[in-house]
Amino acid sequence: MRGISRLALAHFAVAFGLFLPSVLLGAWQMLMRSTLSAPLDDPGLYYLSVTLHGTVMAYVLTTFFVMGFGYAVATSTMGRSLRGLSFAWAGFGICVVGTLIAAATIVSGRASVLYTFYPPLLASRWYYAGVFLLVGGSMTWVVLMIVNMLAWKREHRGQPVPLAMFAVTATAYLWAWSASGVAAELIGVVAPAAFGITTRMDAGLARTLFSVTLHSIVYFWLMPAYIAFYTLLPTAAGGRLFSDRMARLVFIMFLVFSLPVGMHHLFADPEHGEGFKFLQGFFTFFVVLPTLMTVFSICASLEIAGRLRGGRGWLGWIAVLPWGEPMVLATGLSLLMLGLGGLGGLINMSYAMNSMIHNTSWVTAHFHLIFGGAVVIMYFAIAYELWPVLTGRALRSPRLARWQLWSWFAGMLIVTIPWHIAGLLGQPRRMALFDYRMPQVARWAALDDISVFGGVLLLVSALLLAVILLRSLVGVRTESSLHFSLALHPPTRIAPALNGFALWNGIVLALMIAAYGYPIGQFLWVLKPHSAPAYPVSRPSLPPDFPARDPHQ
Amino acid sequence: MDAAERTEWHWMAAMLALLGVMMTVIVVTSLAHALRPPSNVETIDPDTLHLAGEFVDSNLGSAREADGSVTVRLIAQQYSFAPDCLTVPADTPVRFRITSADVVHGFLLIDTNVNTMVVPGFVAEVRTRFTRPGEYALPCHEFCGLGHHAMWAHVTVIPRDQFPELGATGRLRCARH
Amino acid sequence: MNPDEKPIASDKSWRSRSWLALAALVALSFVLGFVVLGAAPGDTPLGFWGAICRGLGLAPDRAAARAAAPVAVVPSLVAWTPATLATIALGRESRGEFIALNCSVCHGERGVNSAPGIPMLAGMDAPALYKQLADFRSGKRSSGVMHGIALALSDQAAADVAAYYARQSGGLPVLTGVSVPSGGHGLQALDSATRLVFAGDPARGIAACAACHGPDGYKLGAPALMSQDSGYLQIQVAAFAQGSRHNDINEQMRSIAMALTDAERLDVARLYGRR
Repeated sequence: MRGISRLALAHFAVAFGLFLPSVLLGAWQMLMRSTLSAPLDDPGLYYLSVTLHGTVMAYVLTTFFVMGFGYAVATSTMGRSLRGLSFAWAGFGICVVGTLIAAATIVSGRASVLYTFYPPLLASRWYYAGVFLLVGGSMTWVVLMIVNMLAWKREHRGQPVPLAMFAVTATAYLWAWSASGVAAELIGVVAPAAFGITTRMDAGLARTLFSVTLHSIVYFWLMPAYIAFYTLLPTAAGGRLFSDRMARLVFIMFLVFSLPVGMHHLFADPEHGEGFKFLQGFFTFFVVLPTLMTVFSICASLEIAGRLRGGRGWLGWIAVLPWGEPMVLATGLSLLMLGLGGLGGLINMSYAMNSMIHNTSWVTAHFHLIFGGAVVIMYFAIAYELWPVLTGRALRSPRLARWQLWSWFAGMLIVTIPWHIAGLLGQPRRMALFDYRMPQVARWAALDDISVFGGVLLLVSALLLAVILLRSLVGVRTESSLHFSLALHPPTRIAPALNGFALWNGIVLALMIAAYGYPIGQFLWVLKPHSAPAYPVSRPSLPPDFPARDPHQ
Repeated sequence: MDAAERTEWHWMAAMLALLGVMMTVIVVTSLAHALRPPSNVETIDPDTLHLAGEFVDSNLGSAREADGSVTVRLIAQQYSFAPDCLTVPADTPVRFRITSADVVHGFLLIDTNVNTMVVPGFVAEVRTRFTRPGEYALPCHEFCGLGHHAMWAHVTVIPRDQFPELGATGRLRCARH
Repeated sequence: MNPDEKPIASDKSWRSRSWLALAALVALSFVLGFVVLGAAPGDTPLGFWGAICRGLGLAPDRAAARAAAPVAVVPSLVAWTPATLATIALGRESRGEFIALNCSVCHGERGVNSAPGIPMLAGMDAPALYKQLADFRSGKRSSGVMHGIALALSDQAAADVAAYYARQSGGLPVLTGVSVPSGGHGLQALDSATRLVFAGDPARGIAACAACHGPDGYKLGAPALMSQDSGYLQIQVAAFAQGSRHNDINEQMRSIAMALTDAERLDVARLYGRR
C-alpha cells in the first residue's frame, strides 16, 4: 500500500492545496459583486479571478481528486499494488505541469476567458496547452483503471468485480467520453486560432463540442460521491448496502445517460433547431433516474444500519445513526443539498422553465449548491476516510471534521439560497459589479450581501479542512484499511453485462451518434459559412499586425 | 432476484412514471402554449453587418409588419446593444431578432422569459407578447470581455394605442439621452 | 463454470433488452421532437417533412431578413474582414516613413508632439489609423484637411503609413490587454472620471473606456487614449455626442458619448490626455 499511498496523497495534495486559495478567490468575488467595498476592486481582476476559480474548481480539484480516489480504491479492492505505477506517476507529472502552465497564464492576465473558454474569445495559447495537458494526463488514469480492472477479471474469472472498482472504472470510461468534447473543441476550433493557423473560429461548433463535456463532466465529478454513498457509507453507518446489482445498474446508467444530454445547456442557442434540443432534453430526464435510485438505495441502506442499532418505528432509525461519523454526517448533509439542488436541476432541464433563469445567477447558485455543496462535501468525507489509510496515522480530529462539514453546509446554503432568489429576480451572470441604484438591481442588494457572509463561512471551513488534513499528517500512528460495504445479498455470480462495459460503451456510441451526429455535422457540411474572427484577450507588446522586416529594404 | 432488488425495481418503475408525467407535461405545454426553444438556424456574416443587409444601422429598432406584429432588430457587440433603447407596444406579438458583431453575448429581459444567447454567425430570434407596460432592463448575461458588466440596455413597453404608425420602412427606437 | 450451479441471467438477454430499449427511446424522442412538436408550431401548419426540417432548423423563415428596409445608412466602408486585416498586415514601414514626412507638419515628427487639438499618431494601432484614413477618404468622417489628404493615399499607402506610426515610440502606448489590477477601479471610486474609465456606468449602459481604449483592455479599431492630446479627445467625444462624427461601427461611440454629460466628457478627456 506504500507506493499507492504516496501517489494518492500527491494527488490529494494538489487538489486540496489549490482548493483553499480558490475558495478565497470565490469569497472575494462575492464581496466584489455586493454593495460592500472590496479590496482591489478592479473589473479586470474579477474576470481573472473567475477564470482562475473556475479552472481550479472545475478542472484541477476534481480531476486530481478523482484520480487519487480511483488509485486508492483500485488498490484497496484488488488487494495488490497498482499495475503501471510508474505510468501513473508520469500521468500525475503531466497533469501538474499542465496545471502550473494554465494557472501561471491566468495569473499573468492573458487568459481571462473563464473556464468555459467562450470562443471566439481567445486566450493565450499557453492556457489551452495547460488545460490540454491536464486533461490528457488524466487519460493515463483512465487507461490504468481499465487495465487494472481487466487484469483483475482475468485473474478472477466469472467472479463479480468488486462494486467500488466497477464504479471507478465506469467513472474512467465516462471521463474518456466526456473529455472528447473539450478535446475536440481545443484541437478543432481553438488551437488553430491560438497557434495562428487561422484567424477565424466557429463559435457554434465550439459551443456544441463543449456541450458534450459540459454536462457529463459533472457526473465525472459526482461519481466519487456516489461511490462513497454505496461502498463506504453503509460500513461507516454500521450497516449494509441494500442491493449490489442495482448499484451497478446505477453506475451504468450514469455512464450511458450523462453523455447524450449536453444540448440542454444550449436550449437558448440559435445554432440548433428545436428537434435535437428536445431529443437531448428527453434523455436528460433519464439521467435523473440513477440519482433517484441512489436516494432510495442509500436511505434503505441507512435504515438497515439504524435498525441494527435498535432504531424502532417509522423514522426512529434516523436518530440512532452514528451521526458523529464524518462519512455519515456528510452523507446526510449532502443528501439535503442534493435534494434542493436536484429540484433546481429539474427546472433547468425543462425548456419553458429554463427560459426564466437561463444565464442568471440561478444557474450559478444551482451548480454551487449541487457541486460545491453536495459533491464536494463528500470529497471532504472521503478524504477523512482515506487519510488514516494513506498516511498510516489517525485523523485529528473527528470532532473538528464535524465542525468543518457543518460550516461548509451552512456556508453553502447561506451563499446559494439568496443567489437562487437573485437569479429568479433576473440577476445576470458573471458581472464584476452592479450599480445598486438601478431599480431592478436594487432588489438584489440584500441578497448579494447575505451571500458574502456565506462566502466567509466557506472560507473558514476551507481553512479548517486544511488544518485537519495537515495536522493529521503528524498524528498517532495507526494501521487501517478501507472497508468496503457488503451488500445485503452479496452476489456470487453476475451477468457479464453488469460486470463489464463492452455493451455499454457500444450503447453510448450509438446514443452519441444519434444525439450529436447531425448537430455537430451540420457545422461542417450543412450550414453556410458563419465563422467569426478570433478575439484575443491579450496581445504581445509589439505592435500587432506588424509585418516581418520589409524584404525590400 | 432478491427481495431488496425487487423493491428497487418497483421504486425505479415509480420514478420512471414520475419522469414520464413531467415529460408529458413538457410535450403538452409545448403544443398547447407554444413555449418552445427558438428553432430558426439562420447564418449571417458577423464582419459586415454594418455594410449591408438586415442589420444595417438604419434598419435597427422596432418595425411594424403587415400583419400588425412588431419586429425588433438589434446588434449585440462589445460592449453595448445597438440600439440601446427600444420601444415596443404591449398586447402585440413582438419578435426580437439579434445577432452579434463580435463575440458571444446574451439577451435577457428581466422579469420576463425573453432569454436567448447571441452567437456570432447566427441570428437569434425570440418571440413574445408583453402584457405589462413599463421599462424592462436588458442586460447582456454572457461573459463577453472586460466591459461585460456595463452592457445594459432598456426596452420600454408602451400601451398598444400609443405605438406610432410606422409604415413599411419606419423604424423606431427611443430617445434616452 | 460449475455445471451444478444455476445459470445466471444470460448476457444475451441483457444485450437484446438494452439495445431494444435504446432503439425504442431514440425512436420515441425523434418522433416527439421532430414530428409531433415540429408539426404544430404557433403559426403556420407544416407537413411531415416540413416538421422535420423545422426541427433541424433547416427551413428558417427568411421573410424577416428580406423585409422592406429604409435606405441604408452605412457608418464606415471599412469592415474587419480577413481581406482588410491582410491588407493592413502587409503595410510596409519604410514606405510609410516616406509618406509620413508630409504628416509631420501637423502631427509632429514621427507622430510625437502634435499641435494642440491634433491627434498624436505615434504608437497608434495600425488598424485604427487605417480605418480613419479610409473613412476620411470615403467622406464617412468629415474633416476638410484630412479628406483631401486621404484621397491622395491609396489603400496600400494607408496601410504603409499605419504600419510606420504603429512602430513609433514616445507616443501612445501599445495596448496589450494586460495591466496590473489596482483598487479604486470599481463603482465606488470617488472620482467620476476614474469610475467611467475603469468601471463604466451600467445604469446608462456606458462601457468602461478602458475595456476598449486601455490600459486594461483593447478592441480592434479602438485607439489607445492614454497620453493622447486632451484637446483632440474633447473635440472628438463632443463630435460623437452631437452626431457630427458618425463613422463608429454600430454606433458604439455615439451611444456612449450621447449618454455622458458635458462635464464627464471633459473629465474623461483630461484623465486620459496629456496636460
